[in-house]
Amino acid sequence: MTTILEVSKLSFRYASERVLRGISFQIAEGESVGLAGANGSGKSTLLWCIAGLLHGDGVVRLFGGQPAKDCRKKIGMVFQNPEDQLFMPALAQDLALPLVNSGMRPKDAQAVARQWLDRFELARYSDLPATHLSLGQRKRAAVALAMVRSPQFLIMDEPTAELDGRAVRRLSTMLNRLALTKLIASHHLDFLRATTSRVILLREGEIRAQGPAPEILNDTALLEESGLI
Amino acid sequence: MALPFAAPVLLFALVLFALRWLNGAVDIRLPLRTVAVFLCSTAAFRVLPWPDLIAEIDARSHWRLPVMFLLFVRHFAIVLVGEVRRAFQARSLCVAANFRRGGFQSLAWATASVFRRAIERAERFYAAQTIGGIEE
Repeated sequence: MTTILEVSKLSFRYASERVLRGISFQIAEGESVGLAGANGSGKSTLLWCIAGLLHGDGVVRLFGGQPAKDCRKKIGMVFQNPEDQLFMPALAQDLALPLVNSGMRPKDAQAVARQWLDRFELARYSDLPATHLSLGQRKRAAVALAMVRSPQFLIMDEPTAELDGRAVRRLSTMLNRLALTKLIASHHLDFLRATTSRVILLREGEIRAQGPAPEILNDTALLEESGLI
Repeated sequence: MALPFAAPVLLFALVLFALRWLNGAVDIRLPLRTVAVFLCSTAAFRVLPWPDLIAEIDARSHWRLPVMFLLFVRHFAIVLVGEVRRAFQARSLCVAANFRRGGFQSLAWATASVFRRAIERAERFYAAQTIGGIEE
């Protein structure tokens, strides 16, 4: 199976604080991998390094050896706060923007954007700004935005943060319908159970464990030691 | 109490001036430019039919750059208002009176926290737009 992501001996520090230490793992095409860890364990920093937004020591290669900055079109990313992604006067324009950026005609881009909003059950909000939506709807809109350029690899940073139970279930159902490689950082264990097949557990910037999702997520002692329960 | 709509930007300009002054230079150009950009953008947003304009502009248009710039300014003004409101609400819950002991110190810390949060938000916004292909 093709390797989509290869991370080898990745370390990163903010000033004097070492946030990631010697992280190594791979993700194969079509896999849905969870990145679990307590607050401050380095999940977001690792995702930013993978997306090429931060540069640490070590190797991060995507799609058979390319650095992230050379294959941004193939990567979709959902940030923790949807307000960082959605800022246009209408939701359809937010989704059309990346397509227009890559050279598509605005009217065609709007049509594609509306199709994606429909897939995420947001069609009736197409002409409203994101500020008029609930947080759950904004999170779904952020996923739709990440998907609009048909990426091959989806990176998500705490997609369930501040969501209620129903919104979490709805999001996980929609994510499971997306057939692409996913890396989902979260400390919401039920959400990881529902959406991932393999879990990498981070603790203080190091990989504490990795393996099949049920095995890792049912190991109470391991989760307690890692500050997740 | 409602926050006057220009207050965060004026505060931002004032702190910019103070930082330059602390650095040994009396320079009002940057704060004035900040206020001027804000006022021009506000006027432009009130007058022009933005939603229609944005929907029509393609990547090669000469209008794209100024339109995107104004959209970013608008978004960041909204972010700044939100951050200022949160920081000063939090301060008001902790401080009994503005001009008694601790009032000025907490004001300084609240102002500093707005800058730190604004920088963090700007960094995340830039990252999100980079991933969205704004540099292409």
